[in-house]
Amino acid sequence: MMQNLRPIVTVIGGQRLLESITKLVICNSQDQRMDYESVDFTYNFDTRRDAKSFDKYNPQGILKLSWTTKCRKFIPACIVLVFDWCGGVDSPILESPDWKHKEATILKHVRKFKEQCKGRLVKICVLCYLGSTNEEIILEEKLSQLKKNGEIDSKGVFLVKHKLEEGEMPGKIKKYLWDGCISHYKDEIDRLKKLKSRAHKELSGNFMEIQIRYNFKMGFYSELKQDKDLALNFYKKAYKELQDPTVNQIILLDEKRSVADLIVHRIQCVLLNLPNLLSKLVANQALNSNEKQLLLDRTKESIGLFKSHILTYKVSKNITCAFEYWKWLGEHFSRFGTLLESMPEEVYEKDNFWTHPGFYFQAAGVYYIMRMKVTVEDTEFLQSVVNWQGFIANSSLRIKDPVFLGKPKTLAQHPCEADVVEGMSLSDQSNIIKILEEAEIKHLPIALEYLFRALKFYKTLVPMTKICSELSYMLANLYKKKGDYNTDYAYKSEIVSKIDGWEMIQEGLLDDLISCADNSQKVQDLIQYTLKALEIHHKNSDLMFEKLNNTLTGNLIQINTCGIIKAKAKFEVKNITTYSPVVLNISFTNTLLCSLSPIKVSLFFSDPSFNCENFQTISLDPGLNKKISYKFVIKSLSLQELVLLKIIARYEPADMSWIDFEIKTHTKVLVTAPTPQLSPTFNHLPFALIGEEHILTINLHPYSELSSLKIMIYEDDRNPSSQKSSCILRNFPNNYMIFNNENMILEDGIFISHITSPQTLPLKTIFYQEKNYSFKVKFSYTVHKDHDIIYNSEEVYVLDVSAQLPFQILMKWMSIIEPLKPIVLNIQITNDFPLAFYLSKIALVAESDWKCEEEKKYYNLKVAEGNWISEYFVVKVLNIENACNIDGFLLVTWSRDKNVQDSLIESNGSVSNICKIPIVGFSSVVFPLDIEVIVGSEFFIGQVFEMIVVIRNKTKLDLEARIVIEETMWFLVGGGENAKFEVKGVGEKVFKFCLVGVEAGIKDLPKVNVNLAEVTRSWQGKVMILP
Amino acid sequence: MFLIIGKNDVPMYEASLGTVKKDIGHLNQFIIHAALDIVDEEAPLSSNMYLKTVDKFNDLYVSAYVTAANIRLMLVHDTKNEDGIKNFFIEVHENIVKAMTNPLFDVFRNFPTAFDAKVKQSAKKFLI
Repeated sequence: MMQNLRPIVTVIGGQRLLESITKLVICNSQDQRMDYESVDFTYNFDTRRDAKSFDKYNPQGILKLSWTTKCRKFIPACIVLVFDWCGGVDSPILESPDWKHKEATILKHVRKFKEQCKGRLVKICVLCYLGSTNEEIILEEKLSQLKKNGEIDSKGVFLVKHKLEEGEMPGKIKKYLWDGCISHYKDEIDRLKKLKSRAHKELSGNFMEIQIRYNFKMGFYSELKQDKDLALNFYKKAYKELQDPTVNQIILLDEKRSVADLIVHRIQCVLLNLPNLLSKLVANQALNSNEKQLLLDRTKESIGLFKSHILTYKVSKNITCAFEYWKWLGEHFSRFGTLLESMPEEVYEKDNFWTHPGFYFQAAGVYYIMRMKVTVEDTEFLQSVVNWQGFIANSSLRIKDPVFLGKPKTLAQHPCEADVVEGMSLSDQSNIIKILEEAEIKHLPIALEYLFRALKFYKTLVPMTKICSELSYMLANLYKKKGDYNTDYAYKSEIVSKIDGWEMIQEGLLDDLISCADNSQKVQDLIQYTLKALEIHHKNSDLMFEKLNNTLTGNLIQINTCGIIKAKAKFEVKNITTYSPVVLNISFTNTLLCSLSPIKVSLFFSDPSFNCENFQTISLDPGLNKKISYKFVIKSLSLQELVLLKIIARYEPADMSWIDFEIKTHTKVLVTAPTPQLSPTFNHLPFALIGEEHILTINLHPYSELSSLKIMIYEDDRNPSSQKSSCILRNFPNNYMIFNNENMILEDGIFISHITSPQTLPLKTIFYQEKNYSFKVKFSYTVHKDHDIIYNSEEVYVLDVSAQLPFQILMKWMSIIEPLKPIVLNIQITNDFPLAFYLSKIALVAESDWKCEEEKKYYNLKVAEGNWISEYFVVKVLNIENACNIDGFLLVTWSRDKNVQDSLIESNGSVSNICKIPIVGFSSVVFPLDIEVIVGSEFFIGQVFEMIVVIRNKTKLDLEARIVIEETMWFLVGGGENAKFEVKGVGEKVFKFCLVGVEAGIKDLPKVNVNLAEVTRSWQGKVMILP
Repeated sequence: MFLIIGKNDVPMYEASLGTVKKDIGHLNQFIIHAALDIVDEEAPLSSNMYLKTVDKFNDLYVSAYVTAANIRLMLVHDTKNEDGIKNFFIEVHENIVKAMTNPLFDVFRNFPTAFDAKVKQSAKKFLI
């Protein structure tokens, strides 16, 4: 049965144009799409019989079996007569140039079909196809005459010149056909309505069958007319009438069920036929909420109808035809599933399986399998088929179709004859026919098809993994029945890997897979599945293990698998140092019920250089743990962690055949740098005196046996001394010297070939600069650990030594430093240390614009502990502009030995040292401003006098200062007492103050203070105040 | 066939309680396995733990009960006995809770033997 009913247009003749006409009819909008039938001019339509008389009418059934087919195929709603001017094979001959002759031919056919469609409103249109002929001018004149003579509609004649698709022609034809079809079906509905009302009046008894029939037919015509709502009304009415209790008395259940099946299918088709919504979804347009709701409501209604129909009309399980039950269910589920499949995904509700087409296909598949079990797999059924086939052949019987839908088929000598089988009831005949027809059904491919469709649905549209496994299992079993063992095997292999933990299912599947792999010589698979079966403790474990060993012995097989052997690996410690031994403990468990031996263990690490293959052979007993250890040394300094990635336990019962059980792990150990094997300590006095021997002791404490120890000492140049500091004048740049134990200058370091016990290394050092020396001491050595671990190590330590002068220097400027004026500098040298030293000379060396022309010389003047010597030097600063810039040195020549003369010769013995000490620590600064005050010497009490203050800038810089006159009780002061001022470079500023003396006597004038930054210069004078 | 299925979809406990007359071997487990998809879809939408009959395979029904911890109790049976099955599930659920509180057993690995006896007792009481 077609899902969607469409108006039928019958095209007569015109094979040349058939394709164009087809396109015209089919490729219409969803609403106005039509179906077509193509026949030739010799075809004869069934003429309508006269309206039946209901007098003494006794209906034999509800609906004739052939009625729907007749309606859809043999009764046209509209006819198109195509006349081909060029003489197509199926066109009447129109070769005569005489128009009258042509007209007569056309009219003859028009009249013939009109006559056959008498009693029905069937519009006939004539389509004249000119092709290559050039008669259009003549024809256009003649056509009106043709319409008149043939009583054809004024719009019913079409002249096609070259192509049907040209101009407005397609639109006109389409409209004419559509209107014709609609009016035809409308007329049919009207006719049926009249007939129904007449039957109601004329029929004396129960006319329920007639009523159902007419309602169904009206629904059918309404559907053809594309009036879906009206069709639904009529169908529902008919379906409801079928359930009327009075119907049971007059209609057989089978007939009732068949009619109900037909009606319910038509209702579902109409409900789920929403072409506009579907085309919108195809074009990726969103549906509005109303449209969505309509879609869901229609789907729900059709599902509800399906469920209630199944419950109401389900075939009972009768023993004679046990397959009938499954057949009916299977057909319904598959048919509705197919209908639902055409719906968009929007209607699929994940939690409602009734909205899944896959669910219907799965059920249909299962029903077909059940149907197969009671038919082609049942020996009794097969025997009865053979028996009945023989009976029918012997009796030369034929199967006779019933006239009415749902009535039983019968046996007859000839399909047209009356029933002739004597002594056999109609139901018996019907059952025999059902059995024979069932034997013709190919259940297996049909079941396969439906299960496939279900699997496809549950794999793609609404993914359900477990249902897919079940479907795959069903498919596998069907393939097995079909004899396709490879596909069966493929499906089962797929399932077995997906259902871990479901041991009962796995056991069943593995039985099949093992036997199949064994039969098809798939040795690798055989072993894999045997192992799997052993893992789940299959009931035949022992036999399987024996067979596994035989297979391994008899073949060259290398298999990689996982499971069965479990292992836990753990490093003994979480952190290790390089060059230290590390222990990895592994505990193996055999989950099988049989012993595995020999097992060769291989380890694979994140750093492949540590991998070790087959390093130990063990045997694993069931249920017992086997512990092994692997000890190794990490010798790579760049390695920060080592991860054990996998363990492979190789079961190798025969040479060259093995099973590798792979155990993945992520056990790791963190690797840190090796610990120093030498611990040095440095001993020396807190500070060294420059120019004097200083003993530095290095204590070496080895933790292992060390060889080739080299000690390098060098100054860390990261902190160069940037400040000027005291030093000893020397001929070469190094400001320190280190001697080895042989009194040789340490240049290439100290080398010790072998050291196993603590050792002390005294080193003599001399420092020539007053500063904090920062040395780096590098120890390079080779470590010998145990007997096989030998590696080189290098460590650097920092050694700080502070060197200072052997005496204290105190420099003090005795007056303010002013340019071009002699200034006295006091130098005091104090001996704070226990040893005495002998002074030879003290001198000042200028490095900027100043000079000191004198130097102090002594003949080895002894300065004992706690003594000091003080000297004064007269210095003159020559730089007027920047008098404070006094760069230079104090040179002190001294020695520890009183007999040593002034010398720069150095030796490791007593020397005369010339110390160069930077001049620092000014006690005063030069004030850049000159203050001059001009004031008289005598004034009377109450006399106003002036005090003029002139401030001169001695520098070239502009300076900002403040002048403050301090208050005094002897004078009243007028003018600015506190003023901020600016004085230009080499300029001057004059301030005038008015004073009045208030008491007689020699009185101090108010103090004048000039503040420049934080330095203040003051002036204060005296005047005589007379009474 | 009665199964208790854990969170990872693997059976934790299995018992044959005589609710299916015809022995169809591992198919029973397969039916329950496939019905898990339906249970997983229906359970979040249902306010009851007892989901009634969730699936049907020929003449066999699959009833399900889902605990708050998503442990699924599944029973394959061939006769309808909604109330009996419901009571059976409730009693087994109580026993599971008791077994879980037993510190000596990890029910996700192995149920204590007393549990098995209790399940069979409940089956006798409500199902047979």
